[in-house]
Amino acid sequence: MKISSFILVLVALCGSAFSCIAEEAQKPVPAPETTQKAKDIPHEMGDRTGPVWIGIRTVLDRRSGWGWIKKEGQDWNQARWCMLEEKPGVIKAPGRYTGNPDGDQLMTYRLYGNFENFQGYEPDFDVFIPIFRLKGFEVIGPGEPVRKDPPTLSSSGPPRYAERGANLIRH
Amino acid sequence: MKFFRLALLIWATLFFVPAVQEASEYIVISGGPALRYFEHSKPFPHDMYWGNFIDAAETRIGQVRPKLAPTDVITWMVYRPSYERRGAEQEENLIAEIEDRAHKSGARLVWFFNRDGLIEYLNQPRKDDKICGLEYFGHSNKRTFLFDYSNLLDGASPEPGTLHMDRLKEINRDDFTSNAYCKSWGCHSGEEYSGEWKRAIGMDMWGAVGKTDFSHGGLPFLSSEGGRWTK
Repeated sequence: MKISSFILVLVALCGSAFSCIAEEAQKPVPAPETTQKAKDIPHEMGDRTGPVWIGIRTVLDRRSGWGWIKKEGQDWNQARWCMLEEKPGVIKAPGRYTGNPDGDQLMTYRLYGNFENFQGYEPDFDVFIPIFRLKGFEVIGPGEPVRKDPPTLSSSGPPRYAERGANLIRH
Repeated sequence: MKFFRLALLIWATLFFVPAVQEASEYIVISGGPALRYFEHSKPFPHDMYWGNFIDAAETRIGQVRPKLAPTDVITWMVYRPSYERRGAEQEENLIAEIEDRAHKSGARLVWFFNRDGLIEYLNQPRKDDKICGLEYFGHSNKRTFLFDYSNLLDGASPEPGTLHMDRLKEINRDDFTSNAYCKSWGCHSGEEYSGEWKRAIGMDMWGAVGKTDFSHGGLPFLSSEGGRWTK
């Protein structure tokens, strides 16, 4: 009896751990102050020439992707989960103007730039995704969450949490 | 008489022909640091000090040197792009600093710029100069060496700055001596990467189960509860 109870508890714990990871991958991190903070984001920034892309900032727990990006005129279901390549000193991600790089949850932008010819690796999810190299942006305004899940694993095999590297803090 | 001449020849061959000393190569790899620009506001920032993977590699080179044959070569391969960007950020010439340290350590410094460059170096035609050791210092997770982490991309790595375990089969088994010593000093390598290294390259690689911590200088230590080295 004791053993079966123990197994039941164990199964419940394992189940909640896995569902927790799965949920984290889907649910945007709530950011109630986003609208207030987003006022600090300049309406326009950087080089705004060339093709226009539409992006929605989507902060997901443990994800290093920036959000969903699509071509102007496309549906959001055609959007791609992407990283944003900034150039410190030249152009930074819009959210950084809020004082917190994640402070612009669900803001939408017109993005200017291009996709890199190589992908980026999300260490916590073992997945390679496109990189958008940012040149400039314009704020559109708050948007709705995209009903879509980012890619999960690039490798074969069962899902495994791939924890990132050491906390290296030597001064 | 003929027998005597033959015996003399064999004796002379054995004792007077100088033995050809194989010059093996010991390779130490350093990945790069994160940028403060990306890490400074995080609750657990990485790489407050730029040289964690340089100091540790330098320490290890000093340990390995006396154990090698005089003809063996130590090659120190360093991922250059991250040090260029970090150097620009803190307005220091880290490239010159590393070159100076390599010179003092007696190791031959080889900069590499991406995974393909690293693999190309390892796979160069080798006859008597096989690799007798390979050690890695840098960011990693259980499936990937991250030479470039949070340096070009916030909290992530550009694909050319990684060596995922799915790519290990691109490294030739013949590059190594049969008893080569391999070790990753990065986090979590012992959990999956070491096993794939064995499958792909045919030899053991020591790696950590859990995290490793470089924050006290010199060689990193295991920092997770229940952490251990395995192969």
